[in-house]
Amino acid sequence: MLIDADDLALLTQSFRAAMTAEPGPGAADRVLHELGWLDALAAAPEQAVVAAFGALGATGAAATLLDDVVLTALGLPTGLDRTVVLATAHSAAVPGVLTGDSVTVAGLVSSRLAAPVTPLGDAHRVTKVVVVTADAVLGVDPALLRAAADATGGGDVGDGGGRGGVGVGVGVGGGGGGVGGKGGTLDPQQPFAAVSARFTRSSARELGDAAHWPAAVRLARLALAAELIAASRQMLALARDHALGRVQFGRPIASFQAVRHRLAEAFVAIESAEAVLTAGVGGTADDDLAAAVAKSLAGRAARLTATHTQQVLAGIGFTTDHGLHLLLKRTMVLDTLFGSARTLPVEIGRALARSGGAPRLLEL
Amino acid sequence: MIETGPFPDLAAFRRELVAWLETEAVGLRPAHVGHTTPADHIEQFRRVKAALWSGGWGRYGWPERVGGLGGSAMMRAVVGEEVASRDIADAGLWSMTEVLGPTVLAFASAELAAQVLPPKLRGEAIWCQGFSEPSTGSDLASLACRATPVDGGWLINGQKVWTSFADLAQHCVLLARTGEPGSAHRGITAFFIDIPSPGITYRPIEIQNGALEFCEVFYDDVFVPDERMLGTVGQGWQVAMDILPYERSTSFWHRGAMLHHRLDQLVGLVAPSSPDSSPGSSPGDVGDSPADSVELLDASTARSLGEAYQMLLAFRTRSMVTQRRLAAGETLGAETSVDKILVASSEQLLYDTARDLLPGLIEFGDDDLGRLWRYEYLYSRAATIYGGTAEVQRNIVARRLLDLGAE
Repeated sequence: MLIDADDLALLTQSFRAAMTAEPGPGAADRVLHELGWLDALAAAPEQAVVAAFGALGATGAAATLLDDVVLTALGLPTGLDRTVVLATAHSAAVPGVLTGDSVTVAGLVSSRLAAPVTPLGDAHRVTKVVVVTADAVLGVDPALLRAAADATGGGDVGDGGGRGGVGVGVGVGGGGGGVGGKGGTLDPQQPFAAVSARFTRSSARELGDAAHWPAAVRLARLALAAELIAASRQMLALARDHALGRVQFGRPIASFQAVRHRLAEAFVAIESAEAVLTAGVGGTADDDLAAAVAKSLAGRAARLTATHTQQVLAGIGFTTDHGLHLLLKRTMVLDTLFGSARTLPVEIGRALARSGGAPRLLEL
Repeated sequence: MIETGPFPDLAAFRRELVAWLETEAVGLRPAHVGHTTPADHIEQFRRVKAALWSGGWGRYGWPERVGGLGGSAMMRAVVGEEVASRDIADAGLWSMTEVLGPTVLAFASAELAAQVLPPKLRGEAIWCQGFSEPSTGSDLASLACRATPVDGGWLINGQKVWTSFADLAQHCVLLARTGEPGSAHRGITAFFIDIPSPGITYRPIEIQNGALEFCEVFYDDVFVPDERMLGTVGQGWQVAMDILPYERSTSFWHRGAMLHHRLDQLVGLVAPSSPDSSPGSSPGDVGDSPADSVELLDASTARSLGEAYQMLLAFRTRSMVTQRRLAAGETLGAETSVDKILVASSEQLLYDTARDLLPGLIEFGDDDLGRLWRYEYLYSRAATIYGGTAEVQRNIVARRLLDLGAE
């Protein structure tokens, strides 16, 4: 189901306003849920993710909406009390491997589980972690993963054995919201953490159908592409303002062609990603491929934009006094989720080989 | 709503066009493959245009007053795409009608348009574009070729360069200075010139792929009657600017379709097996099955194909929006510089990718395949030069879209 342009604009506007008012970890989640984010996600998934993640990228708010996106696409109930193990960095493969009765998990978890600082309160304590394998969707008790995380202090793969035969390690770094680089995670504003765990299938509950995983990957990619694009536009806006105000050799540096062309290059890359994302949201002959290309181009745009804007912002953009580093770190993390600008073209090239050509996806 | 004449929609138009092209396939097949001379290209182009005219397909998207059958310009884009997908007409020649035709239609008198456009649409007449001069490339407003008024018309004196097909054309859309030397874009007028005319001489220039496509053209007291003026005196800059939306709709779409078709071919050459196209394969196949060869397509090759494809898809999705905006009556502006940057950079990336993935083919291939890819690889180097250089486009993006102020 599609919602009309006015409704979508209203939704985007209200998401942005909410995220601007309450950008902190947990707070942004709560207000988005109160605004009916889950209803929008259920009614018009593609448009809802573009609106919500576009707002995340534009405001820099910290929220863990990706859990909801994946759970919804898997056909499972979602809410702030649930989380799902995401594919490991640069990959879109299911994070769980089933061997006999043994399940091994290697993936990423969001701050719903990973960040002890998340001020969601007891009402929103995570009660279920979902793990997808090639054959099954399983529900695991999160207490075990949390305990392992606390025990290991973050970062290392621990062995929480002895509790129901579960071995878990959750790497959580920079949990206090410090500056990335000091702790064990790059972007403390949205602390995804690596998780690895081992448990018996019999200790988990069967929840759903693993055949929905590609749909989850597709929707997550559209969401991440929207956030990458919006965050890239923020980087570009920061660099533009700086270039117009910063005077060297008696003129604003925006008047130098070398500077202008770097920013134009970033703009074109962002527009490329946006064009494919919009097509992917509207529906194409191969929506999985369209989402892969949108995410790939969005990651590419973020990389190019980060490089060019950092150069234009020069000294100040290299410090934490300026906001660029937050966007740089955020986009670096987003780029790794569900396939990166480096790994996605490989997947796309193989899709071309399988189809024996270059699918047009859309006709006039 | 896209106006599609007797067809319910564009998709129906395409279906019937494709069916017709299939029945005519043998007759439309080019006699030459790979590197051929511009004269060969023109001969083939004329056959295809004549056949499309006879079948009616080449008349949609043009008004009835010039022999057309009406309908949206997007019908022309569909015809261009299907022609490009069959490799039956040279892309550069094809684009000349799309670039110059609508502007001549807009600025020529009704009599002149009715006289010159039908033979153009039938493929009988070739036109060329006399804009660039030895000292006038990106800075078009500085052109010096002069038109001076005489009884009943104008005398043209000066030199043009990089004029594609000037030696094989029957007409030239020419920009000349009618104002004072320093009058810049205000003092330019456009003319529709017959070739040959007394006083026109030319020298072909060989381009790096071996084709004699360009000419430098000398105008020495060439008389043009008043009724061959396009627009009015001093309106030449508007004529030149009017070309932009047409170049950036059906013409770019055609180029993109041609590049997509080449990427199809490249995928076929690099990863020849495909489960979808081999009926014997099934998901359970093992060993040498096509599915295996796809999975084994090494990451580096797959990445190169994927990167070439994603840029082309970015252009396609962008260009589609541009055409729909034009069809909806919107005015196109600086934002189409993004389209231009995308089509040029995806073209060069595609041929760079082919050069890497088909080792030695472009350098040493002495068969039709080698000649084709070599010819087009070398031609693709111009994609960031013609029609406004990559640098000019980035200047436009910086000034108009990023609002970075003056340089």
